[in-house]
This record gives sequence, structure tokens and C-alpha cells, in this order.
Amino acid sequence: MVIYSKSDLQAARQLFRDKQPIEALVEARDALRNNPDNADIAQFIQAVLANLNALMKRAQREADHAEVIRLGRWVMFAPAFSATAPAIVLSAMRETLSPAERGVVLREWSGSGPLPDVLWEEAGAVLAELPTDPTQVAAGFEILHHVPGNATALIALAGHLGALGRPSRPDDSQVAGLLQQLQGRWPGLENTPPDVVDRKTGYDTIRVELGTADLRHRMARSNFVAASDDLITLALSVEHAVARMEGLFQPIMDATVPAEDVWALADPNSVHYVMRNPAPLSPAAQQLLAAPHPGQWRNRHFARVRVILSLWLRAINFEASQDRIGYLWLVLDPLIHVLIICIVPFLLHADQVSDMNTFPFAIIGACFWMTFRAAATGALAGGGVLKSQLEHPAVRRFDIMVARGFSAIVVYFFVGLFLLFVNTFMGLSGFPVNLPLFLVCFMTMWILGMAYGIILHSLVLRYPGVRRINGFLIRAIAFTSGLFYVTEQLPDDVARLILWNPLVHVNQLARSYWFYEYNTRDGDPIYVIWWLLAMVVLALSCNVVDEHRPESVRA
Amino acid sequence: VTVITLDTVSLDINFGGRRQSVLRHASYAVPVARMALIGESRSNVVALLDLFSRRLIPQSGQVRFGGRVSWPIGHTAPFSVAITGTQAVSHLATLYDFDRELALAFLRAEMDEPEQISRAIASWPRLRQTRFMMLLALIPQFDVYLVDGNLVMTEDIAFTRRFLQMFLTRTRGCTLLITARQVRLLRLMCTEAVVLRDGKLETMQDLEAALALSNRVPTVQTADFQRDDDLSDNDFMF
Repeated sequence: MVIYSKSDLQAARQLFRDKQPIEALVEARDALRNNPDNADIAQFIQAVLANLNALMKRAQREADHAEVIRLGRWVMFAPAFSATAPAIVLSAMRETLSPAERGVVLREWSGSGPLPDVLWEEAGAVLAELPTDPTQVAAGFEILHHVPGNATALIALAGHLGALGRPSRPDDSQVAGLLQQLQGRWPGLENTPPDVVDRKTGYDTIRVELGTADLRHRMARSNFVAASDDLITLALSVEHAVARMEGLFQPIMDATVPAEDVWALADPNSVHYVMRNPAPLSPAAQQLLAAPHPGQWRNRHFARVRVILSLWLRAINFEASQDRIGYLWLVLDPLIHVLIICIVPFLLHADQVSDMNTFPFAIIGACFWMTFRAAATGALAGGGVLKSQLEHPAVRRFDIMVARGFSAIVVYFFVGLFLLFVNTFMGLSGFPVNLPLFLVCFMTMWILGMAYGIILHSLVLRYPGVRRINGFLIRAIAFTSGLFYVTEQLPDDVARLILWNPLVHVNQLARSYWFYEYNTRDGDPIYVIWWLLAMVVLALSCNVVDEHRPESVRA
Repeated sequence: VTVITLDTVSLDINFGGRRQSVLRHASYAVPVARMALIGESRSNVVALLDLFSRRLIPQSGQVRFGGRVSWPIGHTAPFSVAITGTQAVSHLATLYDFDRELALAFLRAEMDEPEQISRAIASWPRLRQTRFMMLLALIPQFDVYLVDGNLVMTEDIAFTRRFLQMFLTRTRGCTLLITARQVRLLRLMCTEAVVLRDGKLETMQDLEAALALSNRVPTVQTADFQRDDDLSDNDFMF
């Protein structure tokens, strides 16, 4: 048993770093051979192949044909690039190599893996140009084995045989008999093209039955002289019959095989037009395309909420994808922020603030403030990473702003919930006095943040320097929001000034609804409601006006 | 039958810091047909696509939609490569109200390595990303298909064949508005054009004349990209 060593892959990686991708590929393939189930090696090989493919395309652009052939020889066997690489390599070969050289190269490559059909076709085409010798005759039979019915190869092969003194034309009676046998295997030929794989299997069966199947192997060993004339004639007859059989399929094949000129696929006048002979579709595709028209958009109002939630999830997934432990950071980041803010009240107040325990007091202040700030930041960015989603007709500008701000309420609700639960568990705080009203305060804070962000965003569209002003403004709002204190502690003149800020009212009302020990004297719900209404109306107005502003386009 | 109706619509865009007029009190009814979308400049054509896909809202006038309109097929912006294929399908299923499981079955049947669909799109080869985005356009059923990209991929004949067959089946009886990205395809698929000229929209029966018009007018190619400035959540704490 071969034990896979990590050093094999490391050696391959080192070669790749040393800009020797082909050597790295060979090394990695050897390592994979020893351990075929290793996903790391397979992934590395894919990466190297992608790199080789890119290098090959660059060489193609620079018309460096030799380099294209050198690199393409490795790339074209990879399934991921088999659709395009063989054609690129073939084009480079035609530019630089003579037919004889192409034939030699293709024959050599055929030992590395299954050659793409396009290269077998090329090999058949160059066969006529090759010097007449037993090796080329063997190559001719091999081409016919891979591309049965290749008339060019058959004619060239017959020419070679004639030049070598062998019968170049198969006996007509033999051909007729074989054709009869072949035809008997595909009834209803005129209506349905049988699968090409079935036909190849049928040809191989006939070759085995008539004893010509291993002729090409014997010839490949340069044992051409040992083959009897009769056997070679018979083999040629078989291949000639195969070619004639394939000729019967040709009109059907013309319409079903991919066109060389891709534009013909879209040309209604072309025999290759895709709708002329449509290929069978997968059951899922059939079901999808046959589904009845869904009509107009359904459940518009409910759909709006679903769209916002989906946009929010998309933003979350996007942010989480930026880091290997991105989802963990989505929780850890706000949690650390809140805990850092919580340190400040401890420095200011020690154990209690107006009979409230400092830790729960600080958590409420920090979570409320961070909710406001995060909602404002999300809305101020005008959607940020979600802006590109506006190209979907189902998405409105307001949706992406709300979706961006929605993270704030979800994240800080759960962070706050977790920390307050820890508090309760530690006996620092009991259950809230009035949970519904406490949650109303939390929601109010979020709405105020959203409204603030939308209004600021509208101003930024008119004058981008507002972003700088916001930097100072939001700090002023933070320090007057009751984040670290309650106004009842402050001198009356200072408190009167600070009470202009609606956030301090919300914070103090929230603390009143949480703590039994504290009942705010300064917090005024009516004042908050007026602010809330004014901000919401102003934000919605800004949004309506901004929607009609001339926008930039992605030209 | 019309699917999009413009009623005295005026549309301006911000182009290089200047206000540029695209439509001026234009009225037009987009018929159910396969039409080329041709304008005086690339920015105007994109602005028109944005108007039809509701990204832009006109300064005055009204745009009425009589059916479902697609996103501009060929635009990669609405698709983030940072998320997985499954997440992208789920998101679109919510936006366009289609059967997510059927869509995933369809994509698994059509993609070369179906198991990759649950991985980040960024880890896929470029060709697979393009195929995925084109296949997504086949899933929701729209009444108006806006195309601003390559429907024919000259290096990927097998996929182009399958895609075109399904796309032509899907868009049968629908309105198709195609920009002049692939003129050769335009000539094969369209017989008439919607032309945006001097702030007005008109139908031209002679496609060649419309294309010649687009060639005669110098195309403004200087892109004015929208700023993607997003404030980081970590820029300041207080």
C-alpha cells in the first residue's frame, strides 16, 4: 500500500510558486495517483489547470503558438476546459506545424488520455498528407476506431494501402453484406437518429465478429507484414461499410450536432437553428418551461416584507463570506462593542446609577445607542453592498435601506437579550417591569436611527461633505443620549439642554420600563412621539424626492 | 397589446457630474415583439433599460407596466459572487416568486458539476459563473425580457445551443428588448427596433437603418460608475 505523504503536495506547491506549473501538475498528479481520494490534491490540480488555461489564453492573444501547444497539451484533457481548449490548441497547431508534424504530435498525445473528437478529426484529415508506411496505416485504423465513419480517414487509408501494394478498394459484395448487417441493427433509421454511442458499440461488435478488431493493435506493433492480405481487405471493407452507414445518418446529424459556426444556431434559415430539431430537455427544464404563467406579482405587501428579509439575508451572507469565521464575527463584533461601551459607566458610577445596577444600566444604554448608530449607518450608506440589487425590478431603494438597517435591530436585540439574561442569572437585575413598553422603546430607537440615516443620505446626495458633518454630529448625539448617565443626576441647566435630544428620553423611558428601582422624571413619551412622527415624515419625504433625482447609470 | 407604456415621460441622468436628458415628454407603448434597443449613446440605452427595470424613476410622467419585467440579462452586478449558488437561487426565488426546489433541480441538470452549486460562486471558473447567471434568467417567467449581454458564447457552442433552445422557448410570445451588444445576433433575432433619438422613442421597421443610425452618432463610452461607498460599521463607536 502506498502511503500518501504531504510532502508530495508541498513539493508540487513549491514548484507552482516557482512558476513551474507544468512540473507542479505532474508532481500533483503523481501524488493523486497515490491517494486518489485526497480533495486537497484534486483542488490544487484544478487550480494549476486553471492557471495553465489562463496562460494558454494569454499566449493565444500574443500569437505565441508554440507556447499554446506546450500548455494546451495539458489543459485540453481536463474536463473543465475540454469545451474550448482543444479548438485553441488545434488552431495553434495549424499555424505552426505541417500536417505530418501534426499527425506525429496527435499520435503521441493519444497515449496520454482520450483525445477530444476534434483532434481525432484533425488526425484523419492530416492522414492523407503523411508518408506511406505501415505505422500510418495503423494510425488510420485507430482514427477510424475513434471516429467511425470518418470518410477522409478512410480514403486516406485506402490510398496508403494502395501505395503499399495492398488492395485499396474493398470488394463491393463484401460491403453490401456488411451494410446489410449494420442496417439490421437500427430499424427506423429515417425517423430517429440512434445514439452515436450505440452505433459505435455496433461497429465494434461487427469488428470482433469478423476478426478485424485487433488488427490495429498488431499494426501498431509494426507487424504490418504479418497481417494477411485478406484480413486487411476485410478490415478495410468493414470500415468502408461503417463509413457508408454513417453517411445515411449524415442529414440527421447535420441538424443535431453542434454547428461549427455558432451563429447558425440562432439563424432561423439555417439547418442548425436550435428550434428546428430541438434536443431533449431534462425533466426539470421541461417542467420549468411548461409551467403556467404566474400572472402579476402576488401578495404585494407581504412580498415586500419577504423581499426585505431576503435582501437582509443576502447582505449578511455577503458580509460573512468576507472571513473564514464571518458568521461568528457577525455576533462577536457587536458583543465586543457593547461590552467596551459598558466599561465607561463603571468608571463613572462604580456599582449603581440612581439605584440601578451599573451593568444592566450600561447594557441598555449601549444596545440602544448601537442600534440607533447601526441603523443610521446602514441607511446613510443608501444600501451599500445591496445597491446593485436595484437592477432587480422587484427591489426598491427603500427596501435596501431598510434591509441594511434591519441588521441593527436583529443583532443588538439578541446581543442585549443575551447580556441581560446573563445579568438576571447573576442576580444583578430582575425581570423587566414592563417588557412590551421596553420593546416599544427599542423599536423607537431603531426607527429614529433609520429616519436619521435616510435624511442624512438625502443631504449627502446634495452635498457629500455632510458625511464629515455627520461624524461630529453623531458623536454629539451619542454623548447627549443618556448612554452613560440619567438626566436626573445632572444640574438642571445642563439637563434642560440635554433633554432636547429625543434619544435621552427613549433611553430613560426604557430604563424605567426595565428597573423597579428607577422611574424617570424627565423622560417624556409625548416629546418622543412628536420627534418620531416628524422624523418619519421627513425621511419618507426625502425618500420620495430622492427616488426622482437623476441617477448615475452603469454605462 | 402593450406591456410597457410611457406617458409623457421625462428622464434625466447624472452623467459625469452633469445632468443629461434621456427622455423629454416621451410617450411610447412597447409592443409584444422581439426588438432591438438602439440609442444615441450607450449611457442613454442603459438609462432606458434602467427605466424599464424600475431602477430609475422618471422626473415626470408615468411608466405603466402590464406584466413582469426581467432584470437586464447579461448584467453581472445583481449577482454577488461572494455567496453560494444555492443562496443566490433562494434570493431570486423570493424576489421573483418561483419554486426554489424546481429551480435548483433545473440548475443541477444543466450545470457541468452540480455539486458545486452549494459552494461560493467566486470559487467557480469564470465560464461556469457565466453559464449560471444565464441559466438563472430562464427560471422566472417574465413578460418582458431585457437583454444587455451576450446570448451567444462563441467559445461555448454546446452550452449556447442548449441555452438558446430554452431561451427561445421561454421567450415565445414575450417582448424581447435586446441592445446592440451582439449585432450579428440582433440581425438574426429582430426585425425592427426601438430607437431612442432626440429624447423620444420610436419604432423603426428597418433594422439596418436603425443600426446605421447608431453607428453614425458617436457613442459615448465613458462610463460614469455609481459610487459604491459604504460606511463600515467599524468606523466609529460613538
